[in-house]
Amino acid sequence: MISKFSTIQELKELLEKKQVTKEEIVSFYQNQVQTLNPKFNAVIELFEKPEEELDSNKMENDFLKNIPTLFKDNFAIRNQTCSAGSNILKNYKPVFDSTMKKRICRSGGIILGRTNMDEFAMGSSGEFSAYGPTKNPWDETRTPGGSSSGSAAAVAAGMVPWALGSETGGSVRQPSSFCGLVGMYPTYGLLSRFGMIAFGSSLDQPGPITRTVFDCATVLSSLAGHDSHDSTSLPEAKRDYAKNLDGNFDSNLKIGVINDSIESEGVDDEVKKQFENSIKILKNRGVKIEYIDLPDLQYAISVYFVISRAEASSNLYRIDGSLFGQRDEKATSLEQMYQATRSLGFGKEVKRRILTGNYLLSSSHKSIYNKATQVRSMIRCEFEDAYERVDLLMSPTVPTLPFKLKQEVNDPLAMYMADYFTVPNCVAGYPAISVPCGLSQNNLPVGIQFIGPRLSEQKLLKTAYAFEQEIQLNLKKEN
Amino acid sequence: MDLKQKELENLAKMSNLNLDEKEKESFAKDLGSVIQYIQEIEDLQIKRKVEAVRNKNVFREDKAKQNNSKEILENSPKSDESYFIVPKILKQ
Repeated sequence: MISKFSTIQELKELLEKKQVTKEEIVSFYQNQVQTLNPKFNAVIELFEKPEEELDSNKMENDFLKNIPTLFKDNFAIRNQTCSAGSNILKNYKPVFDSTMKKRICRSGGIILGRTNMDEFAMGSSGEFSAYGPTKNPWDETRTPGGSSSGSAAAVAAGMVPWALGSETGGSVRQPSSFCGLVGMYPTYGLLSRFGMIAFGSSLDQPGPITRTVFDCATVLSSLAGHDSHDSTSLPEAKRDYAKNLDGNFDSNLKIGVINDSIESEGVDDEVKKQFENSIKILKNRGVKIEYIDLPDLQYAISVYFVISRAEASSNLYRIDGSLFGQRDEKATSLEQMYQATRSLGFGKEVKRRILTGNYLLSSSHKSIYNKATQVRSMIRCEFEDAYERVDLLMSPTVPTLPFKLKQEVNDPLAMYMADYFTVPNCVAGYPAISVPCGLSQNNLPVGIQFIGPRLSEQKLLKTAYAFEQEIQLNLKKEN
Repeated sequence: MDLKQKELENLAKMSNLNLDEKEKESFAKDLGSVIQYIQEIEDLQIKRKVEAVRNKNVFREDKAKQNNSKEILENSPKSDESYFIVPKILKQ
């Protein structure tokens, strides 16, 4: 039987045993969206007809055969609206497919609709969406995190077995952690950005949000691999990332605990407690733990800030009402049209980031941008040095429990600090996976993350899988 | 430290954004505090560097690909058969 918390793995097994048909699965989850979404506002649109590849000659593999999903609203699907959670693209219908859409459909996946998100993926709480805030299925007074707010909430509520998100500095892992799910930021360049609306191009990566590590590996197998449409796509061969998940930790595995995780005052006590418990579990299984000081990581927030804003202001410059999207028709000059279109179409946080980006890129301040790129390489060096001593690093995914709605939006600096643990590896381009590790006293999910060297996805998944088996938490939440 | 009014107005112009008085006030404050925060990296001594991006530039053959310009034009706010239409930029 399908349950609303079925995993991809379970659904594939049911399909294989012919205990359920594709049609039953699709209508089951469509129904779930219709029933549950009014409560959580996770889904912006349920497509009239789901997106799938009907030409069997175009099929490439069956990693996601007959498995429904939802797409974050910033991936292009031909002839479907793609608004990036913004008014300015409210009616924008791309004339092409993103590589992620093609890969999923050519693995047999079925896209049911698109999910809510912070406008242009800028935000950590989902509250900067033009479609209103999304609620956390674990506690409706709290946010599901962001910017992949709708994707995480939809999976946590049981509307789909998995959903696609995108991450620039934590936008997949943070909501996954807040919603008791698994989320991954792959090595920069492992997944193609073609057709994904850009925020910070040197940081952006698509990322899967799933219930289990095994499912994360399955989705990654479908998504990864070189794409000639993205010049930053790495020449990686396709592989089955779920193949060597056996529940064992590598012998002699050594994990470095980032000292800030425990020492920093900014880490909530409940998070600390679950994190320390996770260390204990790993030690009990024979994993060697070393505590590591990585002092340069404290600059990652500033570096991320400078680079992501600079790139965002450049990327969003093209959105001006002339070639696509909304246009303010009253304007009589071109300049007026640009200004009126952008002023009406962009929300407050997006404007704030465009202004900051242009400030940082203006000639009188460019020294700080150049400095940020240097410190970025310094941070990468510090990671490299650490990986000479340990195989992987670990920390809490987010320093706090899920925010209350409206708690963070009024204090931008506090909101940006919530990315403290997720930003450094993005700045360096290194992969990380967030896994649920326990619940707080009032039943809110807490996540930890493993961070690995470049292209260490297989090791990360193997370790996270073994950890997940050990934790054996039933993080399935009844609504 | 709030951003100076004149500087913010100049930024808004560069960004093609019209800001109302309320926005100006709140952005000047937000930008000021955030910019102050990132100053921490300004005086850092850089010990050692590695390349930021290890990818090599990717070239493709200089061959025309089929495009769907008709669809792209139809998808724009205003167009005719072969042009995007925007407000006039040249004075008569």
